Amino acid sequence: MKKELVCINCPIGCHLSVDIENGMASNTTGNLCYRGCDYAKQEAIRPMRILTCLIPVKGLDKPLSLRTDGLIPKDMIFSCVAELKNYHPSPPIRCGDMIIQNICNTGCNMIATMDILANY
Amino acid sequence: MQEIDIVIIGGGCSGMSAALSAYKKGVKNVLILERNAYLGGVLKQCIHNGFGIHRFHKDLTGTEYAKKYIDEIDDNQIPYLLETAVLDISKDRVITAISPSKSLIKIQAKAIILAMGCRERSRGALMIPGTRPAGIFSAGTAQKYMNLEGYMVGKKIVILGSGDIGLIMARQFTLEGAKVLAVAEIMSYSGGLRRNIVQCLEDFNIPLYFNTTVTKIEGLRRVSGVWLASVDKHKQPIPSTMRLIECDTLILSVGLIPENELTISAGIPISESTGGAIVNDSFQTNIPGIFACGNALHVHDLVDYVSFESEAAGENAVDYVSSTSPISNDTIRVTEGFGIRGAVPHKIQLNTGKEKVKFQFRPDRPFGPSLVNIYSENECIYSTKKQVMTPGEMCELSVPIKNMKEDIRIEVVPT
Amino acid sequence: MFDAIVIGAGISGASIARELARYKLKILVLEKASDICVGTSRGNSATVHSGHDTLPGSKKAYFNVLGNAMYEVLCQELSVPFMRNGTIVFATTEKDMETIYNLKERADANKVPDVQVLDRKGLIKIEAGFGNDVLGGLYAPTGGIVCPYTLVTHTCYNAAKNGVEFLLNTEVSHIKKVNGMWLINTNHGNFTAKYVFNCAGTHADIINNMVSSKSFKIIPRKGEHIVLDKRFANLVKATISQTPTDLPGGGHTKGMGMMPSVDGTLILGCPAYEVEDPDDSSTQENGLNQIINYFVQYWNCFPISKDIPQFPKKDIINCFGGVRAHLDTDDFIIGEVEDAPGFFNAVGIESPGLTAGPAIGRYLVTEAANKYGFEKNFNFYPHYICKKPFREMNDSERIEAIHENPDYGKLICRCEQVTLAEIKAAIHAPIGASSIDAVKMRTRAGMGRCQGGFCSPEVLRILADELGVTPLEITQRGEGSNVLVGRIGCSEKEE
Repeated sequence: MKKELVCINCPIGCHLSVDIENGMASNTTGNLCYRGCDYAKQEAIRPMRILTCLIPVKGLDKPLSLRTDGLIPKDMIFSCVAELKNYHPSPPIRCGDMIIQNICNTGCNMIATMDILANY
Repeated sequence: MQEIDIVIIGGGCSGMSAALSAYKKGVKNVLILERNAYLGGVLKQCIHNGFGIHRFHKDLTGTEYAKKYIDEIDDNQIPYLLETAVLDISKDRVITAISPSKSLIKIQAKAIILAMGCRERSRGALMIPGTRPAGIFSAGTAQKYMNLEGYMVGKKIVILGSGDIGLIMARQFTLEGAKVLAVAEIMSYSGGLRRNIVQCLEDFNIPLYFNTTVTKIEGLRRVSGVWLASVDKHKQPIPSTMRLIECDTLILSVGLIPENELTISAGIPISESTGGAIVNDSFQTNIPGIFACGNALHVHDLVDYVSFESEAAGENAVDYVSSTSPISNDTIRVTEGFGIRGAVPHKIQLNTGKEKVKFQFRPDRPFGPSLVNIYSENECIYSTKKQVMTPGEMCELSVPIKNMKEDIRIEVVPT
Repeated sequence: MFDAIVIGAGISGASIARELARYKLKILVLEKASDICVGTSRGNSATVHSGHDTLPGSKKAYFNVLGNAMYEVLCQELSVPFMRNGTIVFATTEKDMETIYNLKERADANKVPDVQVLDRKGLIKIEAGFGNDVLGGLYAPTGGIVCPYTLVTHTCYNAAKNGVEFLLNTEVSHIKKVNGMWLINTNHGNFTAKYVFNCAGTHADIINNMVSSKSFKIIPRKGEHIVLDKRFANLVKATISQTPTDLPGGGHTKGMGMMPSVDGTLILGCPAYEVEDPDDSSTQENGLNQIINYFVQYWNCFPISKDIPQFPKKDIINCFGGVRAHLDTDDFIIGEVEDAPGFFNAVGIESPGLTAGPAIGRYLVTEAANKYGFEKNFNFYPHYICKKPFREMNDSERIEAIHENPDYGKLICRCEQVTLAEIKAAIHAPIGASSIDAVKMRTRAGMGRCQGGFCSPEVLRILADELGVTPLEITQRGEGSNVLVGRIGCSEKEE
């Protein structure tokens, strides 16, 4: 079957078309460059995303901002967000610190994207 | 009165970039004045990624991008004052500022870099009719409440405006458990990046209605609903299309305006087109030694370009205080022709030995394949092909100066 | 048990309360909204009318002229910004010039001082730049501008400092005479008083009709205003309006006008049309469009057009609506109610209500005092003294202020230059601010170009800290208008 999507790599926004058969993508058309081709194949089969979100910090109003350190499947975003509720980080936290290892078995870690060094 | 060589007003990305580049080029007597209790400006509330792809060849969050600069500022021990609000700048570069610890300070600066950033257009400025309940926020204010303070601003949300900030917040609200009912966009195209349409709206099945606006807000104490309506080609609401969406929150992402009260108080003329100071190709305003860069000069889409621009402004400020600026008596003006909006710089110095000038502008509407031409004395002195241009993404040209003799005009020619 | 209860804390109620405090009386003010000065007194054009357009012989005319003359002393006593900037009404047709002459006759009959009819040349001498279509007009030098909510709040503060009690969020449901006293039922308890003053604005008919068989109906009239950026402050001086014209799209008004405000903004307005709901001060599309269409068409008549050639739509920073109490007799009702002795009305207080308010207060209370033998309170202190706003201070005043109180060094609202010290003072004032809008009204924080975009999270945080509550409890404008709905990271169950 064919899947239609718009490329996001640059403002041109090529309208791409990909063949999907048995969970495999092939024969991308509509792209003006190779990036469109790579993007289409992945996006058509299993879209991947970076997740950035917040988690409360023990004893503070200010939340901690987090990111996945790699791409995770889009369909796992909400599971990962739900998983955050099981973690309660407290200061001191440094930007880059791993807060959750291999979140939801995605192979990616949730890392802090800011410093929270003090308790106030 | 304190004397500082280069004072940078604003400690966000723009101010930090300018300060660092000035410092590295050799002027140590610099000072950043920042009104918040922290450096980083709006980047500190940008927890999403997409920053740094051009500047650092990495995909960083706004907070990570800010940290790179803040760390470098601290590593180099570049002086800055926090909680310090500039009240006034005089024509002779005397800065008046206040802070709780230092009271009222006056600084005589040799050069000033205006890096104050921008503000958001408000409901009042749009004159959306209706009541004044709780639950109406500009996207940036909602972002601040969420990301810096840790609070949710609403549960059932309608967003007006499909600019990037609104799109980013649509995603963030959804991830935090709120329901985003709709994004309404008055134009027939989005002002945001295609990536954000996909990853913030389509990913979450949030409907995006083009040619649609909010015509009325309901709710006495808290927003209870907003009326949406389609608009005609004159952007006027079509009454028969009005429908009420029940919600408790209206988020406005309807435009950014460079923040220039200080610029005006110094008597520096503002460009009607960009909303920021009128500058030449050195980013210098009409007052020698006062430079402008970043969102205070014109609103950017990518922070990377704010950094590049501000780094250049910082270097130019160094040339100015070291009296090594190229001297030119010939300045030509840049006018905007068909299709062009917000062209920067507004003036170009001739015969300075500089070979090229970098223009930035936005198309005033989406264009398919077209040419961007530059005319001097009615002669086309430069032409480049553009596959596609959209108002949501700033365009750049690098143009040789040598053929510029008279005032030039930049124009789009659709092909 | 009180001697006097005042219903409503707008210009009328505040003025009456303060006048009552000149006597040895136990006084209570009941206000149904969550703050003082929330009704008509909040949403108007801030004009201190000269009185030239009121009908001679009417109470409006009488109290307008009397009130106008009180403003210098009053505003000085209460530290309220006020300026006698003059009023000009211009005409563009011969027929409208007749109206101008009629206004002059009225002005003379009303004893308004120094009013002149001027031709084009004469007008231009006062303010250069009137358009070519302008034939002439009326000039009333006693016209002025004031900050209406600063006037009302400082009047209330002064009353409070002189012993008057205030109860907010308190709505009167029933009044009747019991054993020679007025018994007032409210949602916050019952109160008794010998004398009641009805200053309930657009609800004053309901209050009156609880006690008197001579009932009347208030017709709520709404009108919008548009606020232009401060950058035009130096370009306008007098309050200028056109003779009442047929507005594009219908409607009637005193005449669309351009009112410089004491804060430097320019206020444009206003249409007037009837609405059902006495509390509905929402802005309506047709009202706003009336203002815009008028000014797009007639901009060139106004002197500002010599500097700003076209109506500057991009410089609109806000708009607001206001409802006023209109009676079909088109006049105020001021005085003791015949069949309800001890009950006093100050009703139908639409324009020129702001101007007339202080005079109405003085008159009504003096009447009551004379009739009922109130004893003078020689401890009455007429002044409300407060520090000048930071934005108006010069450098040495600022240094001194910060030295005394470092909170003056922390700028919270950058657009209006409001400092932490002033916000805290507003929260701890005699009738303190407890919501974002209440802080805004008292300090101007949030009234500037960015309309609170930057400062409102900080104001919210300061309110929470000063009031000792969590940020979740802070409201926009009173109960039920909480700004924030929850913490991030909480599940539905937890909240």
